[in-house]
Amino acid sequence: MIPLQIALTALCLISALWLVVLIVRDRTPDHLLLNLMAVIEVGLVVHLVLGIVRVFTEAKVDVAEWEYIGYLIGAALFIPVGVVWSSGEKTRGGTGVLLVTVLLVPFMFVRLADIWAGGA
Amino acid sequence: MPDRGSAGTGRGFGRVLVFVYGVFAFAATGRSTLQLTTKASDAPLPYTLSAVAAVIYIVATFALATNRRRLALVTVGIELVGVLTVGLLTSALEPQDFQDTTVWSDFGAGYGFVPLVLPFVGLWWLWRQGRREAIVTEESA
Repeated sequence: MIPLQIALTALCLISALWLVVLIVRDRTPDHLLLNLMAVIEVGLVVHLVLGIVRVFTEAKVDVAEWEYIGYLIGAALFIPVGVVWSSGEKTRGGTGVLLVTVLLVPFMFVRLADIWAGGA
Repeated sequence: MPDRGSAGTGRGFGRVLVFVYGVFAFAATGRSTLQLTTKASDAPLPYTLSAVAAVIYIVATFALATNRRRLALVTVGIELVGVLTVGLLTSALEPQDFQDTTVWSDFGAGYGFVPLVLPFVGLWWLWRQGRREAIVTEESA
């Protein structure tokens, strides 16, 4: 994993723990958490751009470029879509959607590494 | 007329369920599009099943989000049959007879077995919402 992915994974896990606490206590997300998720999203957009450059300049022949780019886009899409979708539900359900989004991001990094290794 | 009130299949926990279905609709559509546009003739059976899975997830997401319960029940039912059938096929057949993966291959092992668990959760949710609605109707009668 590249350092940016490690940093984003750490931030996602912090957010996930925070969201679990919110769900248990039946609270809606506070501004600090939403700001943290915004920071993660900025990081994911940078990650998308870097990833596209990387796949066209450094990738071995057997790397599935379009699959890799698909996963890069997916990783950057989940949080904004999830925030919009959860905004209509000010209950545990809405907070649960945010929890799913931050857990999906590290999973996408694992898949990206698999594809990069050529064995997806 | 589907009810979009607080008891709908897209409310509460349903928000999470619809989101997860949406993620699989996205994943299966992406996989299927890629397979069909870049290498359609390599493995016709898996690629057709990938496309079927994509359509099922899209319709199930739509049905759950808009509280169309009968449509949701049909699509989640097909999803359950699909993941069990493809899961059994991929574990029974030799790799050369099933040349590439679908979302449902090996009971969804490539996706943390979520594709196997999801239809059961979907059916449970539909059953629960159906009961809740029956109680509400009884009380208001």
